[in-house]
Amino acid sequence: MINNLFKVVLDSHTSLDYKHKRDIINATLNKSTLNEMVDIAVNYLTNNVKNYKIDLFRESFSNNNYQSILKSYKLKGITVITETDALYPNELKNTPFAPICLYAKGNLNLLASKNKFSIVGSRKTPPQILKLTESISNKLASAGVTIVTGIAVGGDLSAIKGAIETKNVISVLAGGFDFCLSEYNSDYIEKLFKNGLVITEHPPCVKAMPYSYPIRNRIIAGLSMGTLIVSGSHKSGARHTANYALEYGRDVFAFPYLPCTSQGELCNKLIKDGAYLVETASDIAEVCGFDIEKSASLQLSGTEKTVFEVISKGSVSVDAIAEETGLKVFELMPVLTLLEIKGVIVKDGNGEYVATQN
Amino acid sequence: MLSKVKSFALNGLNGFLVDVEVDVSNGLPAFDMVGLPDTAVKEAKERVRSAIKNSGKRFPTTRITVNLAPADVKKQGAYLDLPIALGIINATMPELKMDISNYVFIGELSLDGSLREVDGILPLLISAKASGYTKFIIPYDNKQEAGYIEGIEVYALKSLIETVELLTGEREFQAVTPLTYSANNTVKENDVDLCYVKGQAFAKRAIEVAVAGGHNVLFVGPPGAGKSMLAKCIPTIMPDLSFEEALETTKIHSVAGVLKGEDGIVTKRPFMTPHHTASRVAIVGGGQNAQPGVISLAHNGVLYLDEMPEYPRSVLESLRQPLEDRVITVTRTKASVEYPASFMLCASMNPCPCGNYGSKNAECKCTYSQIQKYRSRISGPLLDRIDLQITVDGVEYGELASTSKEESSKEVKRRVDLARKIQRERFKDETINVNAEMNEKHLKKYCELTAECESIIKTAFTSLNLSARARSRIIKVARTIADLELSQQIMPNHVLEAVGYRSNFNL
Repeated sequence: MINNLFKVVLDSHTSLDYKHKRDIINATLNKSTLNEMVDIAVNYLTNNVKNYKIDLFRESFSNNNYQSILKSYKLKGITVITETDALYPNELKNTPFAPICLYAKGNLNLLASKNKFSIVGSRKTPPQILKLTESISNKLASAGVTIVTGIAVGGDLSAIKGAIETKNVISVLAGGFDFCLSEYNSDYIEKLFKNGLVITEHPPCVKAMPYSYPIRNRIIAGLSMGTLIVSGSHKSGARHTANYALEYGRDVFAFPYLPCTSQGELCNKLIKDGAYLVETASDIAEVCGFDIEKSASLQLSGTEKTVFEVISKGSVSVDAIAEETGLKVFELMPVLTLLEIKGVIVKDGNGEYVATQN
Repeated sequence: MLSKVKSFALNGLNGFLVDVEVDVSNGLPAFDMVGLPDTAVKEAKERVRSAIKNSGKRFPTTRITVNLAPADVKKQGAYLDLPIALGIINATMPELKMDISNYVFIGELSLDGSLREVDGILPLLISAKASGYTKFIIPYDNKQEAGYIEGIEVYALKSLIETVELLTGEREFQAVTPLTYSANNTVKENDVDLCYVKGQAFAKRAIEVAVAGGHNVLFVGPPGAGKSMLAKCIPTIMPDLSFEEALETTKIHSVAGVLKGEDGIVTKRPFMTPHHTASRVAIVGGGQNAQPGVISLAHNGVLYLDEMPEYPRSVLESLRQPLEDRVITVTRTKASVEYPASFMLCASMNPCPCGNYGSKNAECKCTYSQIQKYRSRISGPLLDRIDLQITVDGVEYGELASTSKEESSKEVKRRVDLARKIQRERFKDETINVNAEMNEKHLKKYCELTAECESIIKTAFTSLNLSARARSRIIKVARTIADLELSQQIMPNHVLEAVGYRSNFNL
């Protein structure tokens, strides 16, 4: 109990590095009273951290102060889970640099879910891949797998979209809760609070910085038994997630891309390095032992079928489809919209249609 | 000796009677002008002096006072040179017995005494006719404009001396022969025509729908995709300008001084392409005298904004109200004028700053936030007023070089005319003319959806992630598509096609 309390208050000191916090915690492991712990911490800080305001530090452990900290978390609806809590996921605890505290909002039971699988991708993901991501995420989540992801537009958001209805989704933020509504897609944050879980390792007042994202990715990788990289260039942040997953001995999956597709460089590289190649949800299910439903086969009418066959050969513009099928644009448009509504094709940024599955 | 001459001056698009009173009396030589003349009117003094002298008449070396009544309205422009000169001649030489009281005089004088063309003759004559005046003397170069107004007697003369000759009865002049308006006889072979646009069947269909229902349209596509060429074809498939429309447009062009002298009337729908460095005043109108802006010049035609995000935000936002109300009230300290501005907005833009977003051939170098920033330059409310937002892509070489026959503008125009006719019938009891102008009330009344259509829209909403705003846009476009197919009821196919023209802006 005292231990937890100490960690919560210690973690609220946002100016301290993770390393220092970890050192302090290691040094106070066997102590049983708060005073002893604070003394050790103060001692450590005077020796190791230059110009640290020791008085303020000591003050923060006073009864009044930690009560107010706890109260403010409670007011914001945030639950703090320290690494010694039963709720703290084991798979994360066993990774190096595991977060000291997790701040969570939403359905906490998701943390205990046995099958956690992460799906991440870059902001610039091609639309057909977004659609595929959404459908795979949906299939896995429907099978009881908890989807772990970030919240950025693109691959992450599609993973959330696919899983949100099944309520099996955890989103890991790179900053504190105070900024989540203004910085991320607030529609989905609210939905996640209600139907999923949002966690972060940062106290509410911490703002996400560009460097926070790669650090955050270790939590995504650490929570899950496998990671699907849906898109990414050589420079994109998803590579950190893949690297952490490998480091922690988890499976890495990736979609294959055509050569010379910048959005898929990372995925192709991962596959070359031995990641599992994924085309459908069952590719993942087989490796991880998930039990997913077989998807029903598509019912397409005559014209729909002709049009779909043209599109499945590769992405094509309306003009090209019209030419190939001999349909007039006004005859073709309704068919395209129908196929789009059925989710078998998507429109890409250039106004061309792409098939999402074969 | 006092003489009174009638003339007209312009306030916005409306002319008002100006009584030019000239008094020549004994005293030290002076030339005073009262009655709120602006600079151009004040300078008439010098022009009138030289013109009278060079016309072989004597300019009095006595005291001249000119009053422009009503005294409290500002008079602009050089219309009053001729009446002032005639007033002086009449006052100094009553022996000429000029018949000045029966005419309204409009014209600018040059130093040699010839009459120069002035702007705004058409609105001036229309207002004068409405106030009951029927005989006019105007500059010769404005002859064409005057020919389109029925029931008035206009003499287009070349100089001050000719005017005096006419008024004294020394010489007979032919009144301007009335011209009959025809939209077709003056339409020259179009430089642009849909048959010259190769491929692009999708975009062509989209502009057909857009023009048929008066919908605004936005083309999104990489550089060189043919967005501008498509836009230029829009006027060729728009219905012919009716005489009333032509007069309205001509009035504005005449006031702005951009009327081409030879035609005298605007017979082709205007296609205005202001550059994106154009100021807000240039676009919506304004300036000291509250002149019409480009959107008013585009009245009954097309306003084409190429590279829309490059326009300053303030300019784009200022389009919102005129797009809705179809008029613009330009208010300045010295004047407040309402100009009509019923135009079809056609805009084009790249999908991202580098232009290659979503392209298969070239890599987009923009970051996500750059793209967001670029797209957010066009505000949601403005996008709301653009019913069709379509993506245009480049054409492959084979298509460019192909000799296959494309449908010509004329054929498309025939269909558009039919669809417009249906709409005129439908809205005959309403204040609107085309589907695009429908509001929620009209949607309810004229666009009843079958259960099947309703369910299509519903599924489309969830599976395609459409915004709530998109709903009325889709229904309006579906109505137009139904009109193009001469169908009373909006059928599922129409709704499905309309959904296909929605934007995929929210990527």
